Amino acid sequence: MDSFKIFVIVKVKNPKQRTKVYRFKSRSFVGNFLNVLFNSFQQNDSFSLTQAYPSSGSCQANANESATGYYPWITVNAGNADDSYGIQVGSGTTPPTISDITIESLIPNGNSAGQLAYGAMTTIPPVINSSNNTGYTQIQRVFINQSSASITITEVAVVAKFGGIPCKYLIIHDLLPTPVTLQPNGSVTITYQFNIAT
Amino acid sequence: MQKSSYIRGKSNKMKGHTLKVYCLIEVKDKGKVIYSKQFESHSFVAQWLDLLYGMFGQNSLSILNNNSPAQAVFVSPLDMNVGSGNQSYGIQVGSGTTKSINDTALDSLIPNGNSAGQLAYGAMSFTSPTINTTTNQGNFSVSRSFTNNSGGSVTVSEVGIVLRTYASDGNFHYIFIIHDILSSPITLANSQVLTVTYIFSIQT
Repeated sequence: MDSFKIFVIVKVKNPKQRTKVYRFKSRSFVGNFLNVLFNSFQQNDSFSLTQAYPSSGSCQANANESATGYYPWITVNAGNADDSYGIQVGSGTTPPTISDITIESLIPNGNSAGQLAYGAMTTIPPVINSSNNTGYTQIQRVFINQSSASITITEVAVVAKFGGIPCKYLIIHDLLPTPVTLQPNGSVTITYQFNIAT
Repeated sequence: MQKSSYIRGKSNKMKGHTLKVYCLIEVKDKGKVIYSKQFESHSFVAQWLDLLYGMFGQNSLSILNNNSPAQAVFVSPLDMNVGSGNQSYGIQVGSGTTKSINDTALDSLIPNGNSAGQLAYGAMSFTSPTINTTTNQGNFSVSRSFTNNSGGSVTVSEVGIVLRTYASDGNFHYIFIIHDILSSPITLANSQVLTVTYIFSIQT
């Protein structure tokens, strides 16, 4: 059994259709995640991150900010309508690579054609099963199609925020095994579940 | 003590995964490697999930460290860059033989020092991330050496990692995140050096 696994749970609700739920194993931490973990562990003063779309440019992160105060370093709790971090969805089809710094083709927040209304991120406290030494925690986001046309989602990603002057950087990128098409007024809930087994 | 060439042969097992952690154990006697063994760590403990939850959502967190009562705090970047002679965080070694998901410390820490039953803790060292864009694989490692200056033998049967984080309550907190029991305890004779390396690996 792997010591650390991530599952993606996709729950699709379309008008006049039965709710469908898919679950698959995420395999796609990207290099940024490793860099941030390493630089945090070593408490490095300055390292560069390239921001994920729709943010742009590189930014300097500081993993030694604890010297002057508390800062987030892997925060995903974006609010309602904020598509700049947290879970993002897109329409790209290229298999993820370790060098990815952004989702391939972001479906932006909004109510017009080709857009989805991004809900606020939810973080769900860990559930620990002491009898079999397993546990998980989840992050989740709801996307609603408030446009008048259908929209197809083919990729999902997680963008995290680092530092007092936040860097928003890609940490996970996955293609959906099966594209999800949302009809007008349809919704999809994307859940990333982080599992451990001791 | 058995010498092993297990390290290089194990690399293929790093393919096709999200995040894996490997632990490499090496013993040197007079500078010569006399034992080495690598295994997959299976032992993130519950506090790792607590940390992820706290960091993902900037959530208050009840940190179950050795200080009581547990405190609800927010956490900042996680640090294990500790110097020599400091046993309070970084990689630790112990003589315990049991583990569970609710562990908040090693079963039985072998303390830093040069007396009987102690080991001299070296400074943590770090190997920068290697990203292979051809194989979509990346890893970095953290390691620490432990020297037996006690005059007698010392047996190590468990290893673990403690992180230090600065929290919104204005204090540093020490949080145990990984716990592994060695399949075969290692007995260090006087002057022998044990090096424990944890390798964090991703495959996109």
